[in-house]
Amino acid sequence: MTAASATATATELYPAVNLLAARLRDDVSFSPATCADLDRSEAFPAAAVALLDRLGVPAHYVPQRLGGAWRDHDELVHLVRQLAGRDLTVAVAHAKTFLGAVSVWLANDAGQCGRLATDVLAGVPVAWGLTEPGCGSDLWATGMAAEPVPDGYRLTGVKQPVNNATRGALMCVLARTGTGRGPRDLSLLLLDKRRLAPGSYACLPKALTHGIRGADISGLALTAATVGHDALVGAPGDGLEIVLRALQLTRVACAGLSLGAADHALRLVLEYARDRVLYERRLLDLPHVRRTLGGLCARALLVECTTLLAARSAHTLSGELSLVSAVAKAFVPTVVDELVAGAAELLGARAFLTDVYAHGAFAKLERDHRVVAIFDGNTAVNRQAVLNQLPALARGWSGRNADHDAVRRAAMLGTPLPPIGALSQRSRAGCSVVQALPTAVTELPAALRPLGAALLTATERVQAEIDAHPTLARDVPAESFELVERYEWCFAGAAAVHLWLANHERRREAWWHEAAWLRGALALVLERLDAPAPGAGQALDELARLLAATGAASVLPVMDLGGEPS
Amino acid sequence: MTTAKPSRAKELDQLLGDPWRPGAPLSHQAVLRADERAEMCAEGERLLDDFGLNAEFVPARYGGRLVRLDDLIDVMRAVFRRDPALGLGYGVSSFIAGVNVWAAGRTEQCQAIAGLLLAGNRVASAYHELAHGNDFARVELAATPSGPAGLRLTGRKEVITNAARAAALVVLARTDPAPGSRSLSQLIVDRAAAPPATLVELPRYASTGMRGVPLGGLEFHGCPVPRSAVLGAPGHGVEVALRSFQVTRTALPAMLAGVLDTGIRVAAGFAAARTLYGRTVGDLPAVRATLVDAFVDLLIADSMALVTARAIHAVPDRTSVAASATKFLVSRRLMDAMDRLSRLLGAQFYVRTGEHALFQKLLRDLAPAGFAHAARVACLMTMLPQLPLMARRDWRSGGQPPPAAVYQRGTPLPPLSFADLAVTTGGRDPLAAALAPAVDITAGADPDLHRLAVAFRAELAALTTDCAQLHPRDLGPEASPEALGLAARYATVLAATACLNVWCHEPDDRFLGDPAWVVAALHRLARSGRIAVAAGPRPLAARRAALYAELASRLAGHRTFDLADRPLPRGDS
Amino acid sequence: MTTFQARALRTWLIDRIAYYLECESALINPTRSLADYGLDSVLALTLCGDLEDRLGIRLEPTVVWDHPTVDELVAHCAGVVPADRGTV
Repeated sequence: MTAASATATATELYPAVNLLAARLRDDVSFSPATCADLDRSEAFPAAAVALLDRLGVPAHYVPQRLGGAWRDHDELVHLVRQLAGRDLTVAVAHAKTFLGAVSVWLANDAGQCGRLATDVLAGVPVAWGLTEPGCGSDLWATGMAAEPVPDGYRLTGVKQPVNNATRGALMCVLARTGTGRGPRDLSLLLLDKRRLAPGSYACLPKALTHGIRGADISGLALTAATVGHDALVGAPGDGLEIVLRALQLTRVACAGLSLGAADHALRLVLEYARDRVLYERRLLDLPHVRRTLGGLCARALLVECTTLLAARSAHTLSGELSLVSAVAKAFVPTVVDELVAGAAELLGARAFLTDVYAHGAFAKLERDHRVVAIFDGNTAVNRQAVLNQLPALARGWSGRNADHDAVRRAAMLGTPLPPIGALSQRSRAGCSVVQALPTAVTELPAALRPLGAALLTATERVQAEIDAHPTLARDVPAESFELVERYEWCFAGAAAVHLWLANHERRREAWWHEAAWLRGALALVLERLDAPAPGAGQALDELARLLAATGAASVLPVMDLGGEPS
Repeated sequence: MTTAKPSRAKELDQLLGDPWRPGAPLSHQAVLRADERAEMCAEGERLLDDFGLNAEFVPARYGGRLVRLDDLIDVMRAVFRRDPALGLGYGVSSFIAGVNVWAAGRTEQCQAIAGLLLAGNRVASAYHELAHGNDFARVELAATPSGPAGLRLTGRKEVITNAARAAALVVLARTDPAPGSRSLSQLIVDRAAAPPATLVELPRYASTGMRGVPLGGLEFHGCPVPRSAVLGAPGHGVEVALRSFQVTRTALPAMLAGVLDTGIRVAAGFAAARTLYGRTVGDLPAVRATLVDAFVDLLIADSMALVTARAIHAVPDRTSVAASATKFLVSRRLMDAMDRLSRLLGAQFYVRTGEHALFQKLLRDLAPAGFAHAARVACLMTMLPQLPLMARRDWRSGGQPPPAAVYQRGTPLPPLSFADLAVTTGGRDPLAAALAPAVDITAGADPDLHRLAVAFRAELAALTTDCAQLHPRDLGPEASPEALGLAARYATVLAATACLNVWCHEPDDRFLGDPAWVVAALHRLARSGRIAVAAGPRPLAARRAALYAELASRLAGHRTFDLADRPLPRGDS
Repeated sequence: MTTFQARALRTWLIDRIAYYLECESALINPTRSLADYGLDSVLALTLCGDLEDRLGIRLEPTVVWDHPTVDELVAHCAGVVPADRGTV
């Protein structure tokens, strides 16, 4: 097996995921040739999904208290990353069940949770029906009607496009139970197709998509489909609220898809750069190639830091997750799209031809990954969610509000986390990760202090703009979205600093030597915040050297899973 | 002098019809169906046969209609706006092969290739070997002597457009085993004359974009060709390529600008029709900004490509660096703009059906702009060794701007002289020399524009210092990223200079004569070039309303978004 | 160009090429093709500008391609430079 077909980052921090990764490593249903064939014929990756079911992966979508294995959100993210690092289509097809089920876990009705847990653990796919034709991410425009009838609700309407709409025996839908246009007129219902009257529902044809061509992106049309009261998730009128809380968890989980894609892209481009000889030199030895690769590594490290901290802060800073999840979902897929585009430029024709290099895996992942920035709330929607909370960010920064201990616990990898606490629709405290930066910078050793100070200065500039930003409900100018984007880079830089501080004393891996990964990551952050630091080029070149030496860009303690050498 | 004849582009547009109309001669639906089947669009090929598109690639002296490069670009945009696969698969590869023949071939060679093209055949340009990419010096296909008047070809050429269906091939082959710059030759291979056993077709390559284009390969097993098949003097293959490629590196990205034109049309149409949160998507200021940015990027790309293309007529021995700069900058601008528009389309971009399905095909088809016919970084590497001499000579002294006609669309230009194309500019740089006079003109015209223009003049001054000091190590493949960055910065200055001069020379044009677009263009270029002036007040935001109004009016009025502002066929007409 | 001038040009040229190739001047054999030393074809074009600057003449940009050794280059330049010039 070549390095390019091997995958994501196995680490001692998530032993349960490693068992799975080791098992998937040599299975033919995940081989690049199989994935390429399925993509070509737009066929569902049924064998891979069945294997994941046999290996008990669905347990990761069910809370531990209900007999499942979902406890630490960062572990779930890492699982998604592992799957996506092999094949993004499979990851999207399988992990979708978590998205479909999570609303039920949050609503926390004992009977409903128990029934759903039994189904999920048995491998029954669950879909999440939010989208309706022509409405995109506008949940307020939901048109599906759930008319109260004596025994429950009668539903009529269409959900489309929805992942696993056809395969999912269950679908959690948002529907209109009230007659008004207010937020309390929407409710969530868990439909069980196995119990719907024949003729009251129809699965809509699979959409032909640009990427994830094998996934079951289809729809469900309901015509007076009757469900019992037990289908209601939460109380009537709670639908939007539950969805908005569920999205906080799913958006962070989706970042795992991007991490897997980044791992995969880096492996493909590294193998190419190692083997390719041009101008009588290995591509890897050409200075401009090293610099480009270093920039790609810096992106990979920053999206990893952002996602790790977002996932772990779900437990320690639950009340801030509305903000942090929006930052992560806006930042991570966008930056990984950038990473993929940079890798494509290095690969040239090999990113374009589908049967010349690695079974066309690169071209496939490029198409596949573009969906991540679109679904589960696109980038604009997430940036708008941050914009809505700018006043809290301004207050939090000027008041130096930060739960330092919570940030520290989130950043300390491998340490136990408390259960996920109450999720709120707004973060009153702002964003502790960024607001803890001034203190964190003072804790950096002298050698890193200038870099930290530069990040702080750049962040102060962004915060000053946030401070001066007017409150806008409509007509948000493009520049406001750019401001949020710069804030995302501040968050990523701060996340990197926190992770380094909390772990550097214990970490001996090559990436941690002389804070190499932090220097490279911050070099890119500062460049993006228009505050380029001296020595940035060398810091990025060093990342490329480390990538070549270790085969993967990660702050995690990467381990070899055995099997055939990669 | 030759005068522009835009009528050919209009004629072709009329022939191909309104692509949005399902029953049109060449509808988007037909194009998408062909893409799904990974086939060339048969209707399209038939229509281009009827039009005689190949004649556009053949110089008038050999019986064709190729007189002016900017006219050819205009004609090809009509094709690329509808189907990039048709643009590449029907025509562009024949054009690339042809340019090398016109630049170096003997009269009878030119006549023979012209004859093939005018009879509706394809000619393939077979330079590429997968193992060597842009590194021509390592080409392996060997042409060894065989008898007094013959050569035998042994080796292979890979990922060649139309390899299987071309009547003739122009191949780059090694005629001398020694390393060096006189060891390669281009030669014409007549498919009909090659014994079948000596010329074997390789399986077709599948690709993620341009899916219909038949990309193939050829394996030569001692394939006999006469020595007279060599183009130009033996050993001059690289020189011929370097001279010819300034035509193609300019023309190809310029043609591909048609892709962005349609991309903007799809995205702006979506924004106008789609409602979200109770209003149209197009009402959202951020969406308007994305559309305006793409519009401005198209104007930047078109200005740079048009100016370089016209300069090839006016100063053919001074454009080798500008052509590579054009390929480098225009390709990225087009791809980035399409990428941002894809985000605007969101889920609509991701489906291959419905009224916006064309977009995902256009995005996939545009990808080769970045690597085919010289990767972007290979373009920088072509430019870099010439920059020190340019810095020492023309940048320092000011240099001589080209004739004003270069910037005046529709004015006569000298004929395209393939014989005068040169491998280097000898330190001359008329296109950059046009910066300083344009900066002077901005002084009284618009304060924002003047401030931006002055910043670009300072950028060229900084480049003059930095490039004059380049270390020899930085001029070859081992060039540092910083050195390559100088070439990229220079390309940005050249693009800004082109925009400024188009504005200066079109004072009477309702839109191009107004500073709004050029302020936005220079601001965007300054931003991507990280020139400090862009971080200041935001002239772009202030001009956006006017630019959006123009965009909306062109959308509604069915006119192109490029400099030509050309009416598009509508409905049954 | 006088014999003396040609010899000076030869020394200058060897130093210049060694500078480009980042090696000792002594390693440049004036009868060997510069391509053998790895002088890239595009880089060879730039050497032409140096020669033009030194000699105050116009040369074909491909002069180094067609006269790929030091001795051939010197001989070619000696042939095109008038006898009263070339010591610049």
